[in-house]
Amino acid sequence: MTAAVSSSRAPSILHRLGGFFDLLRGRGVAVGIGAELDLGHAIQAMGLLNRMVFHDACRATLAKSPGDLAILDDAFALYWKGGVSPTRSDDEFDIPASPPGDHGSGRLGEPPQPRADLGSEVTVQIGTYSPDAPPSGHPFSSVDPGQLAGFRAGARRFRRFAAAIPGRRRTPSRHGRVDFLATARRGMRHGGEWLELRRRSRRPLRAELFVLWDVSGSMREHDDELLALVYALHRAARHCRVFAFSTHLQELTRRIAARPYQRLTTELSRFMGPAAGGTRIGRCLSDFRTRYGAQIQPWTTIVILSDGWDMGETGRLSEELARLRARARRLVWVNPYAGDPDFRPETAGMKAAISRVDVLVSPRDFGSRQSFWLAGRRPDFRRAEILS
Amino acid sequence: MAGADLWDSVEDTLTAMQAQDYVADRTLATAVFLAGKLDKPLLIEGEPGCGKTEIAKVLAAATGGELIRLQCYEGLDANEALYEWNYPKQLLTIRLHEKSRTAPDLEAEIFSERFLLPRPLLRALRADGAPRPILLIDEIDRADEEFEGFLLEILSDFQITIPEIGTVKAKMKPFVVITSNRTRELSDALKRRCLYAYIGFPSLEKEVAILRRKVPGIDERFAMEVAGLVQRVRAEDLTKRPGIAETLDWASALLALGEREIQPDVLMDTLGFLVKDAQDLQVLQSGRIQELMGPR
Repeated sequence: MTAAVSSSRAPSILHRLGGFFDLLRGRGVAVGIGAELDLGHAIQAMGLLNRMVFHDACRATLAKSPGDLAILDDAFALYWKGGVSPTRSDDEFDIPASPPGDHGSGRLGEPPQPRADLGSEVTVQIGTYSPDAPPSGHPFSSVDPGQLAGFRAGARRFRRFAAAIPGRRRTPSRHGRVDFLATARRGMRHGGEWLELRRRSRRPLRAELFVLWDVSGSMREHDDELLALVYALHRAARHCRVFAFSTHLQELTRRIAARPYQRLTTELSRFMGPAAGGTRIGRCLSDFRTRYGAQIQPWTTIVILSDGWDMGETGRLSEELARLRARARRLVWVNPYAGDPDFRPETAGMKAAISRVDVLVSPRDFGSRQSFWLAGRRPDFRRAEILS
Repeated sequence: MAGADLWDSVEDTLTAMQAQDYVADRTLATAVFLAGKLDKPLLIEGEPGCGKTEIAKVLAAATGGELIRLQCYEGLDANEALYEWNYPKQLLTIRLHEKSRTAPDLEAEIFSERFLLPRPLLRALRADGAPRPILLIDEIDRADEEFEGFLLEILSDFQITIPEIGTVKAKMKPFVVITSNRTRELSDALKRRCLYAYIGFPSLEKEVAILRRKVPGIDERFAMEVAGLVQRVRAEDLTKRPGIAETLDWASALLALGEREIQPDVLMDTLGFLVKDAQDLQVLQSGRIQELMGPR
């Protein structure tokens, strides 16, 4: 980077770039040293005189996904807001004189906060205490290690249940089709004689899961249990994407990936917003389908963790479930109350869902040895039992 | 080892792509230019049918470089991507010479270049002389993660080791284009090694420009009508939205049918060219045709 920028403005530019990288990292874009160097080389190759060129170079070198691009565009507009001067004939690129944080929040990279001018009318909202007010947000805490171990064992069983389709990939096996190339290769050890036949058979496709987790207020008392289950599912299946929903959909996969469970509870507590506002399951599922529907494969299993309390249109929920069901291999609904012997699908959401899902289970079914597997082997087992 | 520059500036890159009838924006041209300049692979993600693979073809046509394509699929392994020994030929050679030659001689013979079957990656590494070959690793999201891991060494060092022969290092780095439809997330390790570009659905103006360039015989008014309708279809609540490839197919089909104006019955009959998902098609055909026709 130092070699890339060598003008007299270099220290200032480097300082500004460092702030920009911090801002991006703070917003979840993983900008590594390699990407920083790439941008440095790009600047060297293209020059740093034009804001648009610099923006394009940042997009090519720093972002690694469409989500990164959206964050980068937003952060770029915020951070490099010196912009184009109307008095200039060309769109020269301005390096801001000082970090935006200097005028606002005080922390480099945070958006500047509006300042309340003295003397002007300012409406101030004052929070008041009520003992009856429900706590906002998701203060997750850890479940005990035994319960977590049970969930993890259950998630591994679930992975086998979800990976039931043989794929096109063939692996060496005792039975199956003769692999002539491998046999010939092995024959080289015996002077070209085919003394033993090598065989290959089709390997089951890996479990591919989409987990949709209802984090609305009605689910708050099950937060810890469900977080442990979501964590276990994510650890068990290599292809597992996790989304949280209440009134809108939010992907959590990167937040959950590669984090130890204890740290995850703390970080998610900080990350997840308030739980108030109701649940719009149908709308969120529709959002999920339009954004990620093309990624649902015929062997994908969709797992929905929800109690079925829906403030939206239940017709839409039913329709969306039908459309998801048609695309995926299995639709599994995990209801925290489904383990109760007196449970009946009385909520509007559950009534709409009950005829669409393949398996309805409770989180505890993942913790016990037999329940889920039984439900999995006989997809209508649970549903039939509940409806009867 | 170095990769010769493809173009000297972003403007040149843009001009060269447009000369091949590829309607690119400046952001994409910048990514292509930088990938050539920095000798980094270019990872292109985006909606299906929006021109990701086409970029590699356009680059090959514009530079005159050989296009070497590796189509990824589940189960793709190193033997199919890199190299394989010609086992039947080796066996035949052993049989022919087993009495006349010593074992070490025979071994040296059958593990020589003559018995090597180079696959796309090795072909790209062994290419020498200008222009640079264009290595297209298409739809990498369809391959397994293990294959992604295998690619890392090649994309970083542009060399591979064949135990019986030695290390093959690229004399001239190929220009590598990797495409993904985002059916799964690629590994961070792979992404770190690449520059990135995303191709989304085009704007109305861009789609009209593409139609005008790619569909012979289409006039401005009809191109505008087709593109406008496709834009409205994309705004519907669909699981699979039509890409540019579908637009081009549909426009060509309409012209082949002799249509110069889109009528509701024509749209109904030909909607399958645009919408490739049965549920989506059903939703649109049951009561959305008039809305799609728009203000007339």
